[in-house]
Amino acid sequence: MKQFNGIGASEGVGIGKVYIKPKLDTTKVYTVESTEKELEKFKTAHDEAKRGIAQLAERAHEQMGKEQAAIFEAHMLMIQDPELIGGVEGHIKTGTGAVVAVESVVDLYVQMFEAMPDPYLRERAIDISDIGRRIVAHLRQEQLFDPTTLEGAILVASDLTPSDTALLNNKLVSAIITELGGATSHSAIIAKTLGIPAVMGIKQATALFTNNVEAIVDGVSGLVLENPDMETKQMYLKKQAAQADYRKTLEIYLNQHTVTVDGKKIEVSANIAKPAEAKTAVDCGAEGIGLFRSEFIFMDRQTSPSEEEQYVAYRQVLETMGDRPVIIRTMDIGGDKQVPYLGLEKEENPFLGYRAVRYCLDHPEFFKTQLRALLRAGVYGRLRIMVPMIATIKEVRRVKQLLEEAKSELSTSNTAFTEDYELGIMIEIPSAALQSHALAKEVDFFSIGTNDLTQYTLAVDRMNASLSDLYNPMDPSVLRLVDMTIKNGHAAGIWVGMCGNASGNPKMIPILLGMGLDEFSVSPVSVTEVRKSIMGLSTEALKALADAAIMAADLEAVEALVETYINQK
Amino acid sequence: MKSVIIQNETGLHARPCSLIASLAGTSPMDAYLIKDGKPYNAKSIMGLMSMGVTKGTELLIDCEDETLSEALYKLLSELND
Repeated sequence: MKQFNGIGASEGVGIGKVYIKPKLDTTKVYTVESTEKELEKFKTAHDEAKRGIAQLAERAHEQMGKEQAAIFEAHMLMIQDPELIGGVEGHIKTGTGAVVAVESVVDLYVQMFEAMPDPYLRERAIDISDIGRRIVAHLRQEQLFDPTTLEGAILVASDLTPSDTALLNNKLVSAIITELGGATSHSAIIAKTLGIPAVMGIKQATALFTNNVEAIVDGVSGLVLENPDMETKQMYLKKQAAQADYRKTLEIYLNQHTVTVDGKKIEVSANIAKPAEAKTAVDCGAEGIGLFRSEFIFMDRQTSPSEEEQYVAYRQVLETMGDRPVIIRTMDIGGDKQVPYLGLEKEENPFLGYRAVRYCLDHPEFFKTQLRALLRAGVYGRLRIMVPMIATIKEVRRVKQLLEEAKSELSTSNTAFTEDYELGIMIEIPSAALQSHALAKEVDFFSIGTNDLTQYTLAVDRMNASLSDLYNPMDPSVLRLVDMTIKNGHAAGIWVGMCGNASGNPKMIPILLGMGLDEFSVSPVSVTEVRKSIMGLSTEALKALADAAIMAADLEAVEALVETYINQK
Repeated sequence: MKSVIIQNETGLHARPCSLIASLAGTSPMDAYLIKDGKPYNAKSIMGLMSMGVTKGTELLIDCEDETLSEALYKLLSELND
């Protein structure tokens, strides 16, 4: 039995067989041979791809139900499409290699479908590009990552992209281990949303573990045990069962409104990244959406999303949430992500760089497209627009100007839109926290982004596993900025929420309540647990704790204060 | 050539297109659906989806295989999602 220590990024215990995600070797060169050879290679790869999809379709039928199976059946038809095959063969005959031929033809179709007004058909673009990727993988003789073949595996990877996780669920994967990232990396956020235990930051994990070996992952302590002995396994199985029982006890909190012991109403909302997750949020008892990351609509595509496309997606979420408020965050992308049509240059310091609202204000037509889509969708629900990465008041005023322009444009074209929305900003840059007294007068709410606020305040990269000790939102420096923001917000009569990881941290919740935080936005699976905690606490009684915490000299002192408080109860 | 007007509320989206492509695939002979004078290969699901057919669109069935032609006509006129 071997033991490894990483960072607990998503709680729970996972037990299963290791599956190491195959690495794509992008440096491997594809050798183009004669036309006849390329045609032959294409035929072979095409047949292999077809077989793979047929297997998926069969398994989908058995395990997933009619609707999911229908998707793979459509894939079967697409891959056999004579125009597709003819197109690729035609290209090869003009002298291009099979890989380029497949990519060119697939690209053409993808662009054609992405441009269609019908959203249902637009989604087929993803299917087509998936098929292309599959054929190319066979041509390059690379292994495909297909999570649907897994059964309760422990997935080990260097990092997980949104495409990787699109097909994941907690039945296919019982735990995730990654080399990169920490508690607030995007993989961690995804794991939490899916309710899959995860441990991150185990250096060289893909080399350290072996496929099919049994392992136990403890997503709270960050401990991973390879080849556990019987006794250890029994202990963890008991822990797993206890956790499942505990989750059952949380069910009574599902449909309750969060109120503290001393009668303060608190909103416990959910953070989501895709429209489909809104339903999960409702099912998990969320009282609203505290953060709907709009990046999904901008990523993994070649052209900018149209106003219509964005409107459809935002409307879907607003309608699903009904009379529960929805905070939609405007575009928050920078040079660290690959989004070709934005024209972002590679920067030395993308997190301090030309991103999010900075880019948006410099590209008013692009930004207004999103704003118009939001205002139109706002007719169908309780819209709250939130702007990220605000550093100065000038940016907020410019956003408001552009919103007015957007409204005027919609009026002119007689398009319905809402005047009944809230406008807020994320407080994640220290300058904004320090200037929150002035900013509070310009907006309807603040949402504190502790993930980045901690990063900028302590000058620590949250993705760097070696700095995980330093990266801690409970550091008094961060707490002081949080407290200042809440007090300034309230002084100006606005509410203050939090969408960073800290809002779900059981050690932080008492402090945040004591400071007066009005809204806690967490991953959907954590909603009932956070609600239960808050409903057992009194904000009045916690004021003293909060005041003491912001006067503490260091993190250890803060933790000691929280320890003492919890032991008293 | 037989003409049919699509009555389906949602026009031709993925499901009807896959039905048409499957049906057309059963015959070794060529089959085309003509929209606004432009022919589309009825065996190509992607070609069919890219036609952009909405309710009220008129399509011409161009197919030498009589049996297939009849079957396509029946399928297209009875589409009701």
